[in-house]
Amino acid sequence: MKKTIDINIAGQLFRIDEEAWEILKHYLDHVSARFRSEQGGEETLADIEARIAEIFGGGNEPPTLVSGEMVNNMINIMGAPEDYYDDKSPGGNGTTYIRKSMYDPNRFSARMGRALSEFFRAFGKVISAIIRVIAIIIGAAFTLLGFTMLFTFVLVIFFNNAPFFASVMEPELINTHTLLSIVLNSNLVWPTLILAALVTLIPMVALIWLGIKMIFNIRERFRVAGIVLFTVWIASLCALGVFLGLQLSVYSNREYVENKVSLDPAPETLWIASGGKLEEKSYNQTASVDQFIFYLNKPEDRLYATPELNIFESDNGSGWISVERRACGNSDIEARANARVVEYNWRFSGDTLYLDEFFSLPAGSRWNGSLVDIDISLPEGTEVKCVPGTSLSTWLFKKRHSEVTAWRMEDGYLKSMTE
Amino acid sequence: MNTDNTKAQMRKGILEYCILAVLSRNSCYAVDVINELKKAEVIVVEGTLYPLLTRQKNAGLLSYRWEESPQGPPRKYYELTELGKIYLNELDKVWEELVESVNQIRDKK
Repeated sequence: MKKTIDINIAGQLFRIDEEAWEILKHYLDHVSARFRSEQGGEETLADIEARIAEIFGGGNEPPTLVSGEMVNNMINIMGAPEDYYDDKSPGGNGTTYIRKSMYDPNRFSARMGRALSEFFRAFGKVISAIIRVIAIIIGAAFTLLGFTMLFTFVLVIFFNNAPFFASVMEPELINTHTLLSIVLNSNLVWPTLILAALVTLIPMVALIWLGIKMIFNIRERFRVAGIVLFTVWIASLCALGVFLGLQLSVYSNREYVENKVSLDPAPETLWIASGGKLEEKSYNQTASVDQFIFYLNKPEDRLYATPELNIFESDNGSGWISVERRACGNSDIEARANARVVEYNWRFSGDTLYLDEFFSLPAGSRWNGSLVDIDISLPEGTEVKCVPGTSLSTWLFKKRHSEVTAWRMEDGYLKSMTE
Repeated sequence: MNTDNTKAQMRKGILEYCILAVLSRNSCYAVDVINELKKAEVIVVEGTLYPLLTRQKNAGLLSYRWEESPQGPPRKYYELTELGKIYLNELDKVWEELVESVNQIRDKK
């Protein structure tokens, strides 16, 4: 790619490639030297420059790109400086013009001027080369970053998968599609994804274009395309905001339905066993937010999720077990109704608490922030043990030691009996 | 003997007269003058004309007005001044005398 320079001839802006500029500058220097010292010479030079601008096709937007061929063609039309008419000696020959020129290449000032000119030109070229290299490096980084993000977002948003980035990305990001199909009305998943794609992809495309421009030193501005893309981006952002705002308004009220069993007297050892097992259920998609996991049976349109288990010390000698089914809604009444439809089975028999590993929603129901909290309050000294094959980590237990199966309530905390 | 050089010198000698003659018909943009002179093979390159136009304008033989151009910078349209018309009349006479003198010399047997 040829380097180009912007120049002004007779008030007209031109873009000229570097080689053509060398020829043109040489020509103009000689013409200027030819007329500079003469009466009316400045006016003649201005007329000549105006004609050169016209030959180059000035006044265009974007500026005309002047090539070496165009400069040579212009010189053929205008004539070489020595062909210009000598008004003071119409009968003279070509050598007269050179003798009358004020420019003496052997004068000290001329030599010094040339030396300085060459120095600054060389210095300018070095600086220009360094800036170009920096621009190429930054441009390459922008392009690479843009393409990487673009590739990842396309995979995540449209294919619900990011094989090369799964190890470094948050699971909820990779599960965007599944997560949205659970959180939002299923009919609105694709419109939301398309709007989200526009909101995220347009800045990435802009980043890639910026990088390519920097690498190849492209100066063209596609203003109309830029305005159109920016307008689409703003419109998508607003639409997505309104969309999500309306959809997520369902989470504005939260209610719960509680079932509580008193443990009086509390057993010396509370055994915890799995009731309904998740492995007995069929599901074909999973999505997670933090440690909270959804299991989706798409054909049956049933959703399963993990309850949360908490064990506290009681204030008195007795204890209790509380299971709260929680849900959200546009009103308190709707939220309570949504909580009631959450399906969760558990029972306490003798000294054993049987807990299902999952809670579920009726087929076709939408997830409304539905959760199940299992809270157990036990007095000091009570032991908590898992029946063989059971682990407290199954229920999003706060103490995440999946290998520990026996605990004791001591000093207000549940401590592992192996500690 | 190089006839090309002699021809060029003779053309240069009559160039100022030819410019005034072209402009005597109506006001012209420099390129119009150039085109006519090129057609008559009085000049070959455009650069020849500009210093002459400046000189004739500074001598009061020509004046100009600016007009916007559809392409490029504004254009100067030249026309003869009253002085230029008188000067051209003088040159017409000189030219006729010159042609007659040359013909007389050339045709003398």
